[in-house]
Amino acid sequence: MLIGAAGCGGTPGEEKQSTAEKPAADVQTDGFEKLGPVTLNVISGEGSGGPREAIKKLTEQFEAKYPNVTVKVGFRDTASWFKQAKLVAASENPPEVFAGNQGFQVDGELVKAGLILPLDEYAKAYGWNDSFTEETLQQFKWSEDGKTFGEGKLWGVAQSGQSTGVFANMAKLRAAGVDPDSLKTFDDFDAALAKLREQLPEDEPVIALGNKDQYGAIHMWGMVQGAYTPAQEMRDWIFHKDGATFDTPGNVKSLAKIKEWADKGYLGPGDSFNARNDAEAAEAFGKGEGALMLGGNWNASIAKDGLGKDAAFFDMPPGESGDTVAIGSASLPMHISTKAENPDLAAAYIDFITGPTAAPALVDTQQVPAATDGTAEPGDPLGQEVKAGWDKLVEDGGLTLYPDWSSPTMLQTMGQTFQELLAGRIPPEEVVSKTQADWDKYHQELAEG
Amino acid sequence: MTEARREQLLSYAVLGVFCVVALYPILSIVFLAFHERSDLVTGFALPDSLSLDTFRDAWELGGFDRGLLNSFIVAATVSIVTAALSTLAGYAFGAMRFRGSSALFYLLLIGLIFPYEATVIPLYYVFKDYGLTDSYWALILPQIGLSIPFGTFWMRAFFRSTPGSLVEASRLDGASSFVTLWRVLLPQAWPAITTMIVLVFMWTWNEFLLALIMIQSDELRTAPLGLALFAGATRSQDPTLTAAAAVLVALPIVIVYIFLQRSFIRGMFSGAVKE
Amino acid sequence: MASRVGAPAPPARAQRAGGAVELPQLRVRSRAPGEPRRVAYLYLAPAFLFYVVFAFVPLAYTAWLSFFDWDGLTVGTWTGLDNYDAILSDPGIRDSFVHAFELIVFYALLPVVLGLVLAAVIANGRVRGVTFFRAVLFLPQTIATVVVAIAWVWIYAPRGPLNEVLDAVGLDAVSRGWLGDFTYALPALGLVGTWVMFGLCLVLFLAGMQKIPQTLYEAARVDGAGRVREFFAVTLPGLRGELAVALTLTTIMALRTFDLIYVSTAGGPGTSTTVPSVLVYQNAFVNGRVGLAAAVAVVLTALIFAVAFAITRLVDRDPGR
Repeated sequence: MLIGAAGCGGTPGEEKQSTAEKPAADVQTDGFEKLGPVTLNVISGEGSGGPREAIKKLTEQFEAKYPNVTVKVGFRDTASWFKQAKLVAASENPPEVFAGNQGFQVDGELVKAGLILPLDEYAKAYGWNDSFTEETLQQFKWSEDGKTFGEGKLWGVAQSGQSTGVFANMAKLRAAGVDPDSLKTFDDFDAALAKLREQLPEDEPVIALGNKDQYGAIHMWGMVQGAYTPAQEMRDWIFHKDGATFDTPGNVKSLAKIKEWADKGYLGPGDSFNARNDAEAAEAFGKGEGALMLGGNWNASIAKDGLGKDAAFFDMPPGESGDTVAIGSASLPMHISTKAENPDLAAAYIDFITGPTAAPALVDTQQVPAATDGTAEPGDPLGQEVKAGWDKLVEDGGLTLYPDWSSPTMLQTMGQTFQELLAGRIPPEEVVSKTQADWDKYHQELAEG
Repeated sequence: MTEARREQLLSYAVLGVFCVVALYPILSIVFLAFHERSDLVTGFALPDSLSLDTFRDAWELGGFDRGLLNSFIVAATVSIVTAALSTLAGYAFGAMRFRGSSALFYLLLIGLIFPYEATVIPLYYVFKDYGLTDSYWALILPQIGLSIPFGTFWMRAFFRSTPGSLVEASRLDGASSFVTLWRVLLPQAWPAITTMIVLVFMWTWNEFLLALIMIQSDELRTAPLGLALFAGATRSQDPTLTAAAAVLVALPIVIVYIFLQRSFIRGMFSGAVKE
Repeated sequence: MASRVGAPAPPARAQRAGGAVELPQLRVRSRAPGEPRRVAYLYLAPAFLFYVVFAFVPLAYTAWLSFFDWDGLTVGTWTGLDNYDAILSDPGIRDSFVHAFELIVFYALLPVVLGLVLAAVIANGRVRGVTFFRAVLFLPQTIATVVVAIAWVWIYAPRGPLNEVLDAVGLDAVSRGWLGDFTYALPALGLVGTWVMFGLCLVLFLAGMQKIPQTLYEAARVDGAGRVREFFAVTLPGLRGELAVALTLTTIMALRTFDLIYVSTAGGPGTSTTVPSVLVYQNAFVNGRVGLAAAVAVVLTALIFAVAFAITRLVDRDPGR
């Protein structure tokens, strides 16, 4: 106890109790009607667009399946959820099911503090090891001390595959004479940007960007990085392999490239992109602002709702390597709190929203199911393009995952330095050195045990 | 036009300009709230119709019925307990002499400028140890503690201003200190006490940092906290909805203020600065 | 020399009683009108209990935490003064304190000046409806800061009212996403603080002006002082107490400000609007660096106390009033 510790001149905090694992025989996968009236509290960290709609629909279906169960879903916007997740998980009455984020900022800390349950037995019971690819499951595996990422027990599963790519407003591309099919390489894409800049009015951005929450620019950069750097390099760096480094010529070049875009006015007048966040930029793009949006496929339904047939999606064309590389991963994993009263019910809900049953709802909202054994195929052209984009990245092994996973403070470090880079306040080299310094510091902490 | 008249008009003009400045942000958010949710609003646009749809939607979607109730419970408890304890302490400071009164008074003065930031970290962890985070206590107890300096200061000023003869007379009648307080002084103290209650109520209602840290559950969120989370989640899609929610949260205090603004302001600082 | 302004008038009965009574034999008291000491402490006890337990004990605890490196979840380790070192050496943390001081200009100096000007206008301009003006100009103080933040985020938005006005008068080169701009975000938020605070200063000064005896003004006029001289010679000195209070309260608001920044920019873009209180929250509850957060909190509190003390010393040179 903290007060006692103070009194004895001890140290704050206490050792965590180890979480006991449920034996396979005890795992219940159905028959929840017998529980009587029961409430399940859920928090989703993706409170806008397609993911929100999908969860709402799937929750309704789950409640229809188990009429005695009431599911209360709370939605949060992603950036602030990353900041609050640990506090909520550690609170007196945390929700039974809540989203985390892969990497050392959220999931690693949750595991380290013993706030979520290992799910290996549920994986066996529901067949998750077959439904999801090893690359996907790896994102949710941790050693019990939260120090080794990518191996160990399974701590969550996710609904969809989320990659980043290029959304296009086809009406504007046609007006400028730009044909996406003709853009075979990154250099072609770069040239097309200049054409679009000439065509559009001066105060309209070519690329609709919203960087207020400090991750929009990182995602945009990720697909530019892909033209200069192999994906495996980033993955090694994120998983903290010894000797991995962010300080590479490819990274410096790609950072210089997005700075060039800002200087040429592709991102809009002044720093206006810093005044709105990712979702707001997507809304604006959907309402016709800008010719392109370089961001995540979770905004696909916003683009579709706004632009209808004029909305298109394609991967960023490859660089010299010929491989399509961009930031992408499974979506936010859903965890079960250690304080959950009905963990089996919670696991059943998670299986319902991520497994094969979820595929139709996901596909209807232009998302790509992470589970590979669903049978739903996207019905609309944009959904098909999103899926094709994801498939190509998987095929080329080009999903770099997210760089901010690499330390608890990395999102803040990269977020701030990217903002300063685009505002012309620091050079690309400084972004690289600050990022690597953060990584080195945390790498040492991990090594010290 | 005479010099005086011109001066008068100029004064009205200056005051008028600043009134517009004071009201403009408030009005722009009110107007924003009255727009339909689907309108693409830019700038300071007057709404076409005064529909209450956004308010209803905000109320339902944001769970503000609970939020306002929670805020009310916390603010009312804090202000009433603070008033009671501050009256007692202020009475001691203002009407009695005792050793250490100066020292204790200076100690109290520090409380007037004490920032919550200095206390929230350990308060969070200690309350957590006792399982009291996500409870009304987590909000009520600390806020009583940090409202008492102001309340005591306030009541001390009042008690010092009452004539000593009053207390003398009561003592001579053989009354105990408490009876003196209760029968003689309290009836006159009501205006000061109610003003203090209103002020503490307002400051407690508007408190955000403490709620942000202590309350994680949806059920117990206070209105400002609920608003901040609601705004974060819906601001991009729905500025009108966010505006409606904001209006809902600010409205109770503004209404109280409009009705009580005389005593609010008049009493507020004349007492404080006497010292 | 306590003024009676604002204090309720004592009822006539007590006055008569106090004035006319014939004192019977009493024990001689050395203190007057003295209650025995112990009773006073009884009255003070509950209030001070809450105050000490929920203010000073946590403050001491925060200071103790500042010597540790703790993530809030597992066991912490002792690091002595390392956290304080970090405050001095880390430019980001130093900058946050600089930003807080920059905000003082907007939260304290500007509102005090505006408050003085407006109070003078009201007092001298023979305007009617003082109650109305005072009520309207004080209104910003009553709005919850979260609401204030939301309202002003809208006003400063790229397509919000401010830019609309600027475009309309032909200043569209100036219009921008104010809260996303590295240079202008902090001043923009500062102006919000001005908006919130000037009504408070106005009310303080109006109340204070009421107490200045008319005779002083008359004497100044006899000496041939014009309006401006009157202001500097009579009004300003007479408002010394109110000035101290106004400056103290507003300066501390500037140093402490959290709600406005957190809800509007969360400290961004970059770190251009980060202030110490935001750092405390971020480090304690988001980044898992509780010891550092505690150290920042201690430094912030010490600064606040120091500034308040300095202001009182400098401005209100007659604290024994």
